[in-house]
Amino acid sequence: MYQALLTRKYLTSKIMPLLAMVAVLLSVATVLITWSVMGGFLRMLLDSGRVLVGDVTITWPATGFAYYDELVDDLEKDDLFVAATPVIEYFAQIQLPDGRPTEVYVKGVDPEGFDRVTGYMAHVWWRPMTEPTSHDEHGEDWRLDPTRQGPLAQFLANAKSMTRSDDAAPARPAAILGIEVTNFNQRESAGIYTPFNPVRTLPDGTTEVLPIFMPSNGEIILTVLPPAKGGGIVAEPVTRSIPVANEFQSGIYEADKNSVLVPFGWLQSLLNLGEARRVTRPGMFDNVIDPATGEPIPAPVSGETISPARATSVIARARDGANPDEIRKRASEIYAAFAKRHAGEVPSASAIDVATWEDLNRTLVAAVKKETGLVLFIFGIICFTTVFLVLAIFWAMINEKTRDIGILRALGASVNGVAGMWLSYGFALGLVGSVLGVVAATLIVHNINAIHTWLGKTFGLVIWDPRVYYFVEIPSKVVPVNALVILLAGVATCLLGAAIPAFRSARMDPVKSLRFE
Amino acid sequence: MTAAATQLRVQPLPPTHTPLVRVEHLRKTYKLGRVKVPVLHGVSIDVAPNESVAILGASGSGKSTLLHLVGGLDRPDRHSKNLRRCRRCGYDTAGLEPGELCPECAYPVPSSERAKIFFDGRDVTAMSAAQLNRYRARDVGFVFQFYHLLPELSVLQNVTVGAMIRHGLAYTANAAEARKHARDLLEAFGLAHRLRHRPAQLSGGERQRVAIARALVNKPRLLLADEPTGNLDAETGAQILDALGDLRQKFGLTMLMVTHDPAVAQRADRVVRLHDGVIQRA
Repeated sequence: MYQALLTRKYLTSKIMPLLAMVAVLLSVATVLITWSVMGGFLRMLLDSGRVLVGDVTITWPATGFAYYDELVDDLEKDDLFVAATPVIEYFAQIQLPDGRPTEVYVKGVDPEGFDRVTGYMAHVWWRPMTEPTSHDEHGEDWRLDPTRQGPLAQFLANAKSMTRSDDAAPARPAAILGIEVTNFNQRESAGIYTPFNPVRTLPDGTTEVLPIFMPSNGEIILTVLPPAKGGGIVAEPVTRSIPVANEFQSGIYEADKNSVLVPFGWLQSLLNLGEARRVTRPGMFDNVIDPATGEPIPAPVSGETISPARATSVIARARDGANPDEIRKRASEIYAAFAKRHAGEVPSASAIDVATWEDLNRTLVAAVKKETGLVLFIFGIICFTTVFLVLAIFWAMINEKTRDIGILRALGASVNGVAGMWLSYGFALGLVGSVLGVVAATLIVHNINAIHTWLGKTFGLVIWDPRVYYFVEIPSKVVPVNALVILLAGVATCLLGAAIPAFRSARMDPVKSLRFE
Repeated sequence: MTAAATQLRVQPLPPTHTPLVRVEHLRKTYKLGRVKVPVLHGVSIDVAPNESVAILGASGSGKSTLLHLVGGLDRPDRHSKNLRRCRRCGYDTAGLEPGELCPECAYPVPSSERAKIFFDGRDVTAMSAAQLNRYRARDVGFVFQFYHLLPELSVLQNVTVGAMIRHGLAYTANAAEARKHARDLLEAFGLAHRLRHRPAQLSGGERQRVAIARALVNKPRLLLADEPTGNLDAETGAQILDALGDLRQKFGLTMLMVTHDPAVAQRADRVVRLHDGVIQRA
């Protein structure tokens, strides 16, 4: 009881322990803010990555695999998955309106199914807007102009259907480009894009401004190298022009720079992956005897079959909160059953590639994870100095309170009781400091974007530049479990710092303590 | 008269009483670095129940050490088998009586008996640390020259803290009673209006009265007072001594008080002189 009373009194009447408490508060707040921002960055990265591949992708590159609709059905019937869709992914070269060629990954997708799996429609950029984004304080977003709302609504509709109709002509299949593919959109510090007319350089050294806005009248020329027919080794490039319906921003720079979405059927046809009549051609020297003449004649074409349409991938979305390992395992099992039904017609379960987004971007995700761990480790080490700060403050306090310790011993307090008093004092100090630290960190993290904006305005300090980090907002969510872990660590830090002085106080000779000047 | 000749091994008691406190052959040596400083040389003394005994001696005579040992704050020197040797110079003192002086260095020859302190028949020197804590909390009350109040606590809290230590977690059940007893004591000392004040806001006499109230809050049988008036003016000191005398009568306390002031010592039932760690006849 006396420990609680003195702990309370020391907490409320001494300046020195308040300094220790502030040190704990700052340490706890620093680590929690770092963890929240870095962890949030990783979460945003993973969520953004799913815009293109969903939670899991089953891939057989280049030639693709057949009966993908059946696999989609199998996946959607499973409780773990809520949606699945076929995708054709291929390497391509595009030529932009200003004549520049660039290499991209072209994805053939069914817009409706792809949206169900990835929710990509929410990432389509050119859409009607009435309210500015959180960072666009001056309402400079190009999309806010009332006169553009009509065209923007049309661009959004075009994205949904992946078509574009120019000058009352019939709708044509259209592409949706990653927002960074063309370099015709200027990314502003508020995280918004301002389009500008492309400039073509001419051989004579002059330039020509092209009156083109990609979703309105832009086209790209897309060249692919389909797999050689009949298993041959000579592939013929195929080139098509395709209008642009819209542009998307996934949040992953690499994806936004290198990805082009086109209608599934259009790309399937371009790559000769559609349903086809297949015949068995005889070899050059295969002859049969003509029954009429008795002479050998070249063997006729025989064994006509229908080759089913193919897709290079099937991507699926799992229910919320599903574990990536569980998702990969279940998708593999479903594919194994599917492959067993179509043995000899589709790649075997052992050959097919089943991967989550994290698997596909292992290097990037691992780098961010490692960076988070490293930053936390460094801050943890820095915060470990709090232990020594608490130790020094407690040491000084116990020196100051030597006579009080003697008095308590004279009144019958035990060695453990005195040590316990200082430990409970350390605990109380750590608890109050840590709780305040968590509260401070939570307040800061929740308002981190406002604080960042204020810093930028007041001091011109821009730490999180959307042009560099690509996310407009700084992650602002505190994970309760992380907060609890750091709170406990803060308390443990104080207990650790208080332990040695507490042990020393317990070992003090009460007679010497009473005579202490 | 030599110290050896005047030493009394056990002070006589009134014949009808068995002592509440019995001290036998108490020795204590402090170490200052490598130097041994002997303070008590085989002190023996009895204190009867309800008796007030004053230990009178100059500074450095070992009065406070004796009080700390009786109060269980410190432990006496361990019994040494090599007691024939002088503890200061190592001279062989075989044949000399305890208390006689060493021919080489004039250091008193210690008693060869084992040091013992009995409280109500219990051997304090044989108590474990936990038993000593209980002994200090229940049976003994300390009053110090410099009051030794806890500066962060109020007057009332300074008094009840003794009860908190005594009862431990069970204090909650006894809190009301302990607080009432503390208030009664403080009211008896005329400090009812000072309950919420801090020690720094009190005069020296008031502080000492708070310290006495704290010493009595657990209703101990033995009050150990170390120069209780040593830091007070004569008038306030007299008031404190009057208060102590009244309380002793009221609660039936046994009191062992050390002082260097013969006038203060005269207030006690019996005076024992201590000189260089040896008891002298009063």
